[in-house]
Amino acid sequence: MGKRQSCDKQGMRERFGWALYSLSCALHRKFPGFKKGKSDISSRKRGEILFICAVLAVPMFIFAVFYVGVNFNSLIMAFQEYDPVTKQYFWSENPWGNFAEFFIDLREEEFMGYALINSFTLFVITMFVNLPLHIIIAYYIYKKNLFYRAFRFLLFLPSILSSVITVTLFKYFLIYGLQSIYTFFGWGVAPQLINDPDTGFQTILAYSVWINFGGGLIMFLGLMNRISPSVLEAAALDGAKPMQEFVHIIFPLIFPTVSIYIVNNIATIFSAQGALYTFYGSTARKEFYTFGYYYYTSVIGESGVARYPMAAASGLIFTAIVAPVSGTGHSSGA
Amino acid sequence: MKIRRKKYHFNVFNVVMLVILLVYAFSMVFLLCWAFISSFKSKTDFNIYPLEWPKGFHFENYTNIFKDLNVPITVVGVGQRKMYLFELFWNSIVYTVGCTFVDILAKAAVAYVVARYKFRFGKFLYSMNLVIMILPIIGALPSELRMMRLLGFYDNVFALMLMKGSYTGMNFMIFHATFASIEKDYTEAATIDGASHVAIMFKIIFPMAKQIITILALTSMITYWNDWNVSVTYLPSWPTASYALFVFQNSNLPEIALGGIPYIFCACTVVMLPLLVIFIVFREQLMGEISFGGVKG
Repeated sequence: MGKRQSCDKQGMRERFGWALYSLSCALHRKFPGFKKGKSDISSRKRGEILFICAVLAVPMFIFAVFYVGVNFNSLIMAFQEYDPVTKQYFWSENPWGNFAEFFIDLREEEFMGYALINSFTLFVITMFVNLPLHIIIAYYIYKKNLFYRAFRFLLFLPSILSSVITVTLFKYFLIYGLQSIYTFFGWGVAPQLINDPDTGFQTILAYSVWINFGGGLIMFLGLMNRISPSVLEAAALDGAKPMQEFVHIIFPLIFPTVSIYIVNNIATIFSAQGALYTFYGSTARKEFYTFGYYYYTSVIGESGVARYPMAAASGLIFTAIVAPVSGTGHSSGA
Repeated sequence: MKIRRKKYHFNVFNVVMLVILLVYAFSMVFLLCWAFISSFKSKTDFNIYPLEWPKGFHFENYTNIFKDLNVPITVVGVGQRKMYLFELFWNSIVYTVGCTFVDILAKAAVAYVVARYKFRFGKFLYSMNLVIMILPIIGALPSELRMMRLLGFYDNVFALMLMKGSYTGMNFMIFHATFASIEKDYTEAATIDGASHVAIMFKIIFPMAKQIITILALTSMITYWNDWNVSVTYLPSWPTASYALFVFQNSNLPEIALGGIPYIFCACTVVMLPLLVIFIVFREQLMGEISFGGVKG
């Protein structure tokens, strides 16, 4: 009897166990990942979110403060003035005063006229001398012409040297070396190319062309090397000469990047200095001024604090001119 | 064994380019050699015969510049003091190493996360970088300087290093393209083996992108070492060796008058020496092609 009862109990336990197991299976089918599975996935997801947040925290803080914050503050500062007594910025009574000051300066101040002409001259030289040189030099190296390895090395060299070193060598050669050459040939006194108001800016332009000879070499060479050799082989079979290959195949293929390069240079018309500060420090003659140089020397140092609002307003004007051109150029280039 | 020599085509274009490049190469080599040889001259020798071979080699110029050349700086609460070349070099090393480390780590880490994890904010970050690169904002320097003064970041080298931790710029795009091109299988296999997110990033993916990280780190190092503007603009009491060269060639310091132009050429040689060594050792990597920009078709 007792044995039978114990058998029934065991059978019931087994049936109950099976029922529980079936219920558990049904629940798992109904709610996949309901218990253990779900907690596994969510802990992995939680770890992923924590990792992403940890990686992004500092860069996002820097970006928020020193990009978003700085540009927002720049917008505010354009409508403010500086009080040298309290050393505080305050909202200007004439909110457009800083903007008006820019246009008044442009009309009345002699140096602003020079800055306008020199900034555009620098841009024209970059566009019509430097850029074509970069492309044809890259093509010369790409075709592995005579001494291409040595030229590649020497063209790359200025990009590892500080601009202050190359300016020092260039400057002292013009001051001491040129005089020595003049004396040797009996030509008398050499011209003071750097300090003469008539030749100073041209000398800076010549330096810019010389030092930027290999400026876009790595980029353009990289682009040319990515052109499929089969395209060039087909052109060669059709009898294309090197110049035809360059004009009809290479240049059109690299043009999207060239257009972006042009647009980027448009964006720097008002901020490029052309090594003026390296040559002259903050004492360049007004005939050599560019906008970039003028605004940079206006705001650096302790004395520049009072000029921040004026420079911020001018910056906004320049951005309003350049940003639409740059934005449109990039979207059409892409 | 016959050595096959490449045939060069001497058309008008090649000849004109060869002449232009030879003139350029001569001017570059001549100026560098002239400065190096002149650095061994005495002041009088240089002033009388600037282009001629030295009458005697004054090797002591190189030891003297470490004793004589200095940059006067004003330290708040201390007053004026002189900083000599060793100290200037130390400043350059701290600034270069710190900025390169923060700059590369921030850009690589953010690019890694954006390229390899699917989340909406990642797409926003990528687009934002594109917008920043396309739309220039001119004249933000005054505002940046004001912000730095407000936060106590002005004239603080460590704060400036932190500022390099922003993710935006061309390097971010290069890192993003590199990390996006690495197969997902590596990450999945490491996840199955129980590797953490940090371990996958530092022990698997970053080593796979070692070459590109090295190139960009070297390029950044060169930029920061040569950056003399930083002392003018942000760190007036932390002059670097490059800034010292700017001061030497733009001022009439009595120490410069003592040794003359050869002293300045000595300083130029000493400052460019570390970069020349890096360039010679890593020239193939540095002059290699980094893929950015597009070819049509």
